[in-house]
Amino acid sequence: MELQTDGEGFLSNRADWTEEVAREIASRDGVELNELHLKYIAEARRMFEEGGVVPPLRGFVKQMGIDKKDLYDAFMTGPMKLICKWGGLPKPTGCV
Amino acid sequence: MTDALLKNGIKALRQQIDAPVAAFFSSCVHCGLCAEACLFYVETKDPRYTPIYKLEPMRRLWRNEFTVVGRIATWLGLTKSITDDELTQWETLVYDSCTMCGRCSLVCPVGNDITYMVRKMREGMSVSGHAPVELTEAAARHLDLGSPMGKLLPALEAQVAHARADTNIDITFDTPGVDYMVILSAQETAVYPGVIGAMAQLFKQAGVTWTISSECFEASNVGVQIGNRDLARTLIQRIVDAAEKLNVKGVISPECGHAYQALRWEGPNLIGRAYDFEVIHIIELLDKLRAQGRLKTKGQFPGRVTFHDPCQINRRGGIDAEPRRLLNMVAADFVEMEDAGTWSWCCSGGGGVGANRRADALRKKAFGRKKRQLENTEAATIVTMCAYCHHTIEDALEENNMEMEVVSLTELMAAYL
Amino acid sequence: MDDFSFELLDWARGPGLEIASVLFVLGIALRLGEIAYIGRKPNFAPARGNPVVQGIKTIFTRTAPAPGMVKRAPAIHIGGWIFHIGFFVTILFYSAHIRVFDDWFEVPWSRWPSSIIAFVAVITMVALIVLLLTRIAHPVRRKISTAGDYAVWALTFAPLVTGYISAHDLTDAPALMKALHILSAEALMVAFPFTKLMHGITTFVARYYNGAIQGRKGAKS
Repeated sequence: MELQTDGEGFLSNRADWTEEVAREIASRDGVELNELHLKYIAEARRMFEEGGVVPPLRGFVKQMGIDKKDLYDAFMTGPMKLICKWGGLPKPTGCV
Repeated sequence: MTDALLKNGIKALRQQIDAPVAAFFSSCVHCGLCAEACLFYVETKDPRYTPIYKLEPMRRLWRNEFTVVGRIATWLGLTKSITDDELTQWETLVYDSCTMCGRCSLVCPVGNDITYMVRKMREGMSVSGHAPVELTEAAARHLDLGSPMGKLLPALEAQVAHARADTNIDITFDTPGVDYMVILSAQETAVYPGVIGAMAQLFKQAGVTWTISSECFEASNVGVQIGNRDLARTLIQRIVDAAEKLNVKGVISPECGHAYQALRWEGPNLIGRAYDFEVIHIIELLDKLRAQGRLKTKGQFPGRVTFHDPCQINRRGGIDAEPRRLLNMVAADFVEMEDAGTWSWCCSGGGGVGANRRADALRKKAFGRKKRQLENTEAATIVTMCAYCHHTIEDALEENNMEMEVVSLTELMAAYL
Repeated sequence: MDDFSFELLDWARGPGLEIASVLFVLGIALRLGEIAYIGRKPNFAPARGNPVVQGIKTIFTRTAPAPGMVKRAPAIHIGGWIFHIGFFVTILFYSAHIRVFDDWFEVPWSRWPSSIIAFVAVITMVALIVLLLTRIAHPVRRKISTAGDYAVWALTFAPLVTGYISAHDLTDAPALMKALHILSAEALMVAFPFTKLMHGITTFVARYYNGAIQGRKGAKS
């Protein structure tokens, strides 16, 4: 699949995103997406549409009513970064 | 390439050297007491974290170029100039192990304001290409997209809409001639937006009119953190332009430590003139409204609370009694932490350290002091007045499995109107 | 030998002292001139407190240790205090020194009994030795110490030890000892402006700036 991404593999154009695209990006990271991944991605995309920002990890788990540990179990490392990357959202950034 | 960068960096550093710097370096007796005041030294016992040692390249530049003896020695080829390798080594000292908290400046027996010099040293470091990547990236985002977290206007609009719905108060954008223009730190807009509705309620009760500029609503200033005057000036100028365009009486510096330092204290010097408007910290303003009888609360917070002093707002900003007067209105069981007030210890994430992933392990270790002090209070709630302290402490509480919650003082006040 | 000792003593008391005094004064003027020449930019931020008042206040208040610091670094604080006070007491209140001052100023001055001065000199030397040991032993102090710190230590110790020996006639060569004592004091004077000894003057400038910077913000110092 031809995808326009930045150097780190984040999708250049959010509108290009589909579930197929998500599977493709994740597979490039060596991960096969499951239903749980897709559920988290869909929620993060919904929050982004609503709030205009990638939800921070703490806010995300709170809104999802889950524990941080659940996210780490599903994504192993840096959950929000992977959710955003596979979900076609901008790379999470922080304040200073 | 590196040579040109280094040359520019040294030039930037040279421009930072002023009479106070010369007096400070002339006075240092190498007693090492500054280490005993430094969070990073006391929690690690690594002597490299001695505050004055973090300035060694700058001290040599001063001695070699700004003293007659040093100039003669340099002319005779007896001195060492600053090298790129050396700055690479010093990068972790200047950025990872210093939050510019200002404790060392308070204990120095000869009176050296070491923090003032670290701020200046960072100018040379950033220009010579020795700043942490997260800060340079945040700088680029702030410059290009308006905030260190990127484009935040849609998020702000969404949060303002939420706040309007929650409070039934009309919150406006770009209304000219009001009392105050409110700016927010990206941390608040993106993570702690509750402060918007809180301000709406507080200002409604107090009869203060305010607005948000859609052109400039970002308070944080990565230029001050990374040490880049040009960037800092550009970001300050955006706020000044927005405030002057809206013709407001004042700009409210929000719950963000370095933003207050940047806008209130560095800003006029960066742009080379006093502003046409007043800058007031939100807590200072709330305390003023309290004194005028325009801020009245009812009810009190049920549990025990303690207060964390943000370094840039209290120790380096002088806002010390104000938050305590406010907190005492709404908290029946308010206990102070050890060393509270001017001598408070940093949350460990200020000065850009919290954004710097390379410093993660060190920051976690440095939190040890705050952790013990927090536990000793036996409070369940920590109140503070800086969104970044809020964020740093909240993260650290999780990392340490501590069951405490962090609350913004502005939000707490609004909850008891 | 004796002739040499007396010649040296004469030189130290005469031309030596004059040269040292001139270098001391000119050196200090040069170093203060350097600081003043760099100057500083005007501050446009409206003050919340009074920078000048707090600057002046801090010159004095910073003499007291910060809360909790004596406990954290007892040797440096107590050793430092004893050394500074003892050093000035031996200089200013020892009768032999006062005779020298009298030649210059003719001011009434308190002379302390030499037994007390001797005691003060001994504890001052002990304090200096303790400070040297902490410099060698404490990781922080060792890390930030330079050759200059050790040289200045020796320059400060020398007049105390030679003065003590001289005052108590502990050698067979009193004139030589006295000459060495005066010369060591002159070496200290000449080194003063060009080493960290200069803090004896610039600390007041530094404390003023520190207090003024904080005072402008209405912050404590």
